[in-house]
Amino acid sequence: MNSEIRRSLRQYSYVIPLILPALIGIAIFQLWPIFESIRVSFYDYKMISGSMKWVGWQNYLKTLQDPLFWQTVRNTLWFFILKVPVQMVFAFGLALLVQTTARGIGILRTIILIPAITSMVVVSVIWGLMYHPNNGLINSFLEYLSLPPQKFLISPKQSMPSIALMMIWKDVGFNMIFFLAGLMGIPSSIYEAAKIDGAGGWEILRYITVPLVRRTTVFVLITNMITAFKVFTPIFLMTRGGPANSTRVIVLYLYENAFIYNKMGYAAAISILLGLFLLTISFISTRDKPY
Amino acid sequence: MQIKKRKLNLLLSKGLIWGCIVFLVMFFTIPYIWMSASAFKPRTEIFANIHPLSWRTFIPLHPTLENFYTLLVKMKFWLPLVNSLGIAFSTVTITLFISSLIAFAISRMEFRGRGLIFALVLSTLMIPFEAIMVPMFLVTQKLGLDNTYFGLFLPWVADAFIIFLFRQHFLEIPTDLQDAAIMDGCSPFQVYWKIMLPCIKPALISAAFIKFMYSWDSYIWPLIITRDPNKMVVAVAIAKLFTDQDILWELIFAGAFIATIPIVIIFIFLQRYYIEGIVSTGLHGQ
Repeated sequence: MNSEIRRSLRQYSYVIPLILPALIGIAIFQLWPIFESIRVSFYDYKMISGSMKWVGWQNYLKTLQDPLFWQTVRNTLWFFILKVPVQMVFAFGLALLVQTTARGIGILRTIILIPAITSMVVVSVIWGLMYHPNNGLINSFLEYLSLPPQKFLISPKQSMPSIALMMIWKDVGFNMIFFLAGLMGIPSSIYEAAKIDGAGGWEILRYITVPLVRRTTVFVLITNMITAFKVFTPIFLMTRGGPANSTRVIVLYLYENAFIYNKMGYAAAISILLGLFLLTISFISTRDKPY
Repeated sequence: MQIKKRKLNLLLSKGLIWGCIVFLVMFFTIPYIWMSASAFKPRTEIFANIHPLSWRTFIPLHPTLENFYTLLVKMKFWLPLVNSLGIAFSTVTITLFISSLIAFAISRMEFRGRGLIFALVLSTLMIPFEAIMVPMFLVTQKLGLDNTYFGLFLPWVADAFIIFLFRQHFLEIPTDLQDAAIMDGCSPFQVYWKIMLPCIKPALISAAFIKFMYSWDSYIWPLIITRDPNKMVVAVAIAKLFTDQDILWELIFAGAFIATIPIVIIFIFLQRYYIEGIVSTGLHGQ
């Protein structure tokens, strides 16, 4: 007994130094903030003066009654609807194209992935200039095609679709690599069997490829959902939520409440609601791993 | 007749595919070509050649390095460049070290509470940064790390994705190797450092590249955690050029060029590792 305790102690003296650094980091910068967030969400906390007043559930009630909060929820959903379906179909098509072993196709795959590894700030800034109504590249391109110039980011109707287009351009490569991995997982014998049975290209796609990458599709959809609900940087840089609140999304509203309006408690309550929502989506995704 | 029709069909579909490919290449590269060309153009030339669209829009007629000189020297862009490199380097080395240590313990050592610790690590995978950025800021401020270099990278070094990636790779190493080393009298740390770490080199490369890019890209965190202009990072510096009252297009192009092109070149060489790391962890964007 005694020696067993000593042995397990010896064992821990080896294990603890190995696991401690990472655990401390996780405890301080991941877990503590969660508790801090829950705590602050029950207070009226002004960071500048440092005053803290217990308000109970008030911050949550205020959030749920705040029309601007619901506007940001609708805007975020709109961004999701504009971006995700198009991006996924596009990514699937690209994966099918890039999957072939034709010469030079590797270069195309690399090119499609370059926006995905480019900094979000650089992408926002360059596309921000491309969308410029007078000197932007896109209007000059439309002029070349004899089409009327557009207002893009300064029009409440076009602002969100413009940002969604840019984000599709940036993120489609990410989705493509997951679809590619899914396609690689389909054994070639299935395709051969289908060809022998006389199936055409369209039928193979409809009855074999699409159903067999279903799990990948679900996984990609869920991760896209999460990333769409977290969108912040491009909107913060390109429109600041304007024009006329047309691009004010949840995380931007959260940021403004915390760091501009000095309403930390309110921002914490929004954080908790957003966190709970994303957590629910994540739970679904862990049940459905890509493969 | 039949054969002729089939030949025509084949030609048509080949033409269609090539049309698609040309369109795709243009769609994904034109912003980069425009950016790179404009970075080497004098300001007047940028604006003179946007309307009407022609080859002049994409080729500098009088290439100059003046934009880079103005940006790096006069506007002191070299400082955020050095800051970002230092922060990225610190993030990568510390992350790789502490994540591989814990991943090694979780995957190759037996101790009570192992499953619990792994579950704890995994649970943080689901916490998106955006949902905890406000309390993370409050915690970092409480620790007195706001406005410091440590505050810029310490919160990012314990990364569950990287731990998860390393654990998967450690699990693939046969146990015989470890057993032999223990027989020879290696301590657990020696097993880790001399035997296991060299075995997961590909995972280390993908983790280093992914983590480097995250650090290089990070914008919100540096923006909220430091107001000190001497500790500004590249992303914040570029964003500042863009949001300033009068936009200096030529400097933005030069800054974006410096921040992007080296990464793209590294990516071209390391993309295999990058894709492997992304796909095997299910890591997806930021």
